[in-house]
Amino acid sequence: MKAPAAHLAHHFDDIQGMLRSGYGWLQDSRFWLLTIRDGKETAARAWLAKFVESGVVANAEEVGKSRTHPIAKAAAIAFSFSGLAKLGCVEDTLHPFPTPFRSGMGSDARALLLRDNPRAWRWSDVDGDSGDAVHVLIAEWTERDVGPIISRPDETIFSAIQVDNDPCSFQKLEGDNEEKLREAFGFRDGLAQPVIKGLKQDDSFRPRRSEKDKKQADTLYDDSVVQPGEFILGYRNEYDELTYCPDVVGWRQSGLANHHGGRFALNGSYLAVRQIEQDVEAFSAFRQANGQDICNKLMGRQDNGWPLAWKYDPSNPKTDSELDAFRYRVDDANGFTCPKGAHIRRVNPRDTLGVDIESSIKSTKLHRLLRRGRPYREDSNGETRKGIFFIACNADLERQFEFVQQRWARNPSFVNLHADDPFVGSSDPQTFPKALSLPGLPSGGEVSLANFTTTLGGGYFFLPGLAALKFIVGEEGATKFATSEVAEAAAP
Amino acid sequence: MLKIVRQQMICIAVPGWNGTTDLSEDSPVSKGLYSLFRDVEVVQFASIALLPARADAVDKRPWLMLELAIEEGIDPYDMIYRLVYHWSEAMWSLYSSFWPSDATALRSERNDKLHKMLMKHLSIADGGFIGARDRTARQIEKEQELLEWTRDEARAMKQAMLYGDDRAAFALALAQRAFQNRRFGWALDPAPRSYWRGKGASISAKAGYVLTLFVLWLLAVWLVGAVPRGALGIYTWLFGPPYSGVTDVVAFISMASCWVLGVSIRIVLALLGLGVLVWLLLIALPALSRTWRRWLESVGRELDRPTETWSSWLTYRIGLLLSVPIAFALVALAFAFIFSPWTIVDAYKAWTANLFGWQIIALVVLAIVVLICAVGLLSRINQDLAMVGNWFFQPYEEDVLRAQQVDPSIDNSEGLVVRETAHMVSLTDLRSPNGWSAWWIRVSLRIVTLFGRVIFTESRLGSAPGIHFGHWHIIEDGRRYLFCSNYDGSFGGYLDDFINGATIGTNLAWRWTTLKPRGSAAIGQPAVVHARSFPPTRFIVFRGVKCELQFKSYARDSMLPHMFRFDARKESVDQINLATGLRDALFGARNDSNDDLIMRAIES
Repeated sequence: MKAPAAHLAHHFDDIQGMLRSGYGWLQDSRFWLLTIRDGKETAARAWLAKFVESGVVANAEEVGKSRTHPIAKAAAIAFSFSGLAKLGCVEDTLHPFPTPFRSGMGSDARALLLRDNPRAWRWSDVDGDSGDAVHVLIAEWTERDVGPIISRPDETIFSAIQVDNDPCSFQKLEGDNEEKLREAFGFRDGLAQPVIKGLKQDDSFRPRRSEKDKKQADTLYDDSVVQPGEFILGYRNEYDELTYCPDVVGWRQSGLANHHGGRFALNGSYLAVRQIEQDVEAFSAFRQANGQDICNKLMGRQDNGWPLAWKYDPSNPKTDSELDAFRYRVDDANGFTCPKGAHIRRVNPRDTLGVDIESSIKSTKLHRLLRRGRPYREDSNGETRKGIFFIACNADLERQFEFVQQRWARNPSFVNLHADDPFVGSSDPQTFPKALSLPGLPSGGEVSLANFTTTLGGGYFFLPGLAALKFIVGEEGATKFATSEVAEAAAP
Repeated sequence: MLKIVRQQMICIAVPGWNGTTDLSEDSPVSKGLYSLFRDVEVVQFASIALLPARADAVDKRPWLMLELAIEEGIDPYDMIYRLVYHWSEAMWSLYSSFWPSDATALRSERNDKLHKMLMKHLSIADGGFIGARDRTARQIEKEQELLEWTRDEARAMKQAMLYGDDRAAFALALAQRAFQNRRFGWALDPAPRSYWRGKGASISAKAGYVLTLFVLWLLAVWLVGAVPRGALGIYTWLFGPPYSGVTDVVAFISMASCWVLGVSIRIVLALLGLGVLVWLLLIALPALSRTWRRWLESVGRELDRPTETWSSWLTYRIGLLLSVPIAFALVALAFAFIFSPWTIVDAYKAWTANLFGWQIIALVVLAIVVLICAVGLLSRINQDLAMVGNWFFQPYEEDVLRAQQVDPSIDNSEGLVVRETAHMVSLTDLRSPNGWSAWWIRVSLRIVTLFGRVIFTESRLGSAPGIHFGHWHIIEDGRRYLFCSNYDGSFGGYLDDFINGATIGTNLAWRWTTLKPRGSAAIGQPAVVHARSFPPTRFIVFRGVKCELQFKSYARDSMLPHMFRFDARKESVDQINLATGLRDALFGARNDSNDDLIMRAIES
């Protein structure tokens, strides 16, 4: 027998809190994309160390207590591969980082694989046309009107891009009992999140609609329960295997590992981050021309978050988990209600793609994403631009984020269709216009779409466990700093 | 029957490539080859890759591998002939560097020499699977045109608001318009499909085929004995008894014929008996007993479990202790029944000689009770183990080194065809002893090929979708194992399909291979610096590919990029099937099913 794996329950204090919760009660958010200036690595480490020591980087244990002791502010820190290299981390030759993370979302290879061409990005995680690589991503969430955690990073150390919260993103509309997150097109956001087994975000609800439906509802709840290894490195994943943990030189000698023999990446995760601008005007014009029902078909949900097949009943409010308890295969196999090409059916096909329900659910669970993004707003030159700062946590970038993007969202041949996702990405309207088929209308239907979104930037980041975070920003592991030049040279 | 499939997928791997030919996308050689394959029409897919030489090979130069997937019914000799003797001489331009001084030789001489060399290094697939490409490229093209035309027509009809809410009337109108369109006269005939996907697709056809073969075999064996016997009888009647030696020979042939007849029938009975036992244990009992089902699932899960746990460790070892003696006993019993059935009867008589009937019945009942108690006990233990604590199911880390690494050339290859049919080439080494591994692989591949030809006819291998062609070759005198495949989707997703949908076949075919260090075939191509092993299997078919990390790392490290790629059609498997279905629906009988299919096709 080899070394035993870590027990998730013993490591809550080492896991960054954003993996346990999307901080729905902290309604202000801000994202910092930091590039460390040349020669300022030591100062950057010191600045980041001070930030970490301030205790704002919440862990999963604190988040778990938030029902009784809500935290008023929280932050998370993640690093791109070039960021880790810049800060002196040298990957271990036996346990290197996975290729997608090392090459970076901004690389040419990833542009092809993610079907992104052509790109005109403002920022990315690699040096290139979009400028210098972003090294560090800091996300902060605070209660409304508390004010930001970071006022401004030291400009002599970092060049920074600030992405601000859209203050109108939490809204209480008719029928809502509390403010709910809505993206710029007006749809409820953040529904259909996977529930991490052993690290539930919402332990309070199991959708038992009635005794009669009890068994079925439990099954539907189980559809969204996913093994922790799909999001947190070092634990069992949906293949019943321990997720691969990369390592860095000097980590073992540092003595910071919480688990005996645990590697650097244990308790960490990868973030696929994209800044997606939404063309609100174009979508409003489309809504005016086609009506809200067609817009709902595009999204695959009603704008209030209810599934398309359900009749909205304001007198019977539903929790987010209840709104996620549905399947397609039996009731809507042909997409008559929720079109097969609708956004939410593409990125989470639930029980539709396999030979039967069980194999479909099992297969879909291999490609789930834990979304932690927030709507943002940018005011410049008297113009307001809105969008989503998309963050997807996953443990295997290739099997999760890249697969969803390449094979489902942006694949025109997905389930025999002939157009890609109505919302994700843009395409040349001359050569490949966006469209959506609407089966089940009297004699079939098709709507032509504009490019509703444009990606402005993106990157892959590693969200370390808190011990690993201390290692990255701290003074431990003299080897680390001695070899930092080698690390920089190895960076793409 | 298998050769029909195997010779559709061929590889020509020629050693000693000196790397002087430019194979970049815009090079004259690549353009020439592209035109050649278009012109001969029967090549569905072609690719060129460089296979690095083995580390222990004397000649370190790479091998030039040309992969061809061609249409059914073409002999590889004829195929190569068509390519080599084509007026464009594209094949010569590819291979001319093997004869650097022969540029001025006569065209016929050069081509003869080239044809001879290619035939020498030709390898038809040791096993293969064909998804939706049992149709010709022309058929796929024409059916796609029909699909596009139908969609455009439907769009125009919708705009004209001709048929309101009536889907059936809409479908009928489309069918009428298609019928009246002279362009689609060819579609009046039902879509041609290979036999096992057309007329032979029914279970009765498949079962009848096997039964007929068996009956013919019995008839042939009987005739071998009956004809000499009859001839001897006629001769004796006409001329009196022949020499005694002749009578002895005829008697021997007759006896041998009877023996083979008996053995053949008993082999079938033994197989049927084993089949019934398997059906009883794996299908009937799980359907009847929830306890048995849960126990079986639990055993399967533990045997497949990729990480080592005490539960999987114990299940495997207890399984070995129990199943090996039982398997041996069953095989011994089957052999005794086949070759010496009276031994069993005699043994039974000897054993029951001193027992009364009621005692025999009591013993049988006792055996059944013991079996039920044993199963109940195992099931109880199985349930209780879940409560003994986490330690029993606690995973132990399998340290997979350098996991999730992809060579940039492979990433680039995959990226360039992300909007088309994906393609992979994997080269591994056979495990020692090579002959033993090669034999097992060939047997496994023949089974996979047979199943793919006769059973998995809906473009899914097991439940793995999206495969256009997949073929395996044992090359270099049984030293190396080449796998080429065209499929829809990403490579990672493709491997996931194997892990979830074709576990047994993949384990059977790959468990006899390993990956030895090797250099790169050319600058910018991947090398294998560190050896890797295929993940360990349990009882040959369990685990193995279920170890995702190890399996994917193994597959990734074994991959080679293509330098040239030709694909006659770019449609996905689903699109090809959809277009064929639409053709049959538009030009077939008017019924609800066909109407629905038409509407679905235009709504997709």
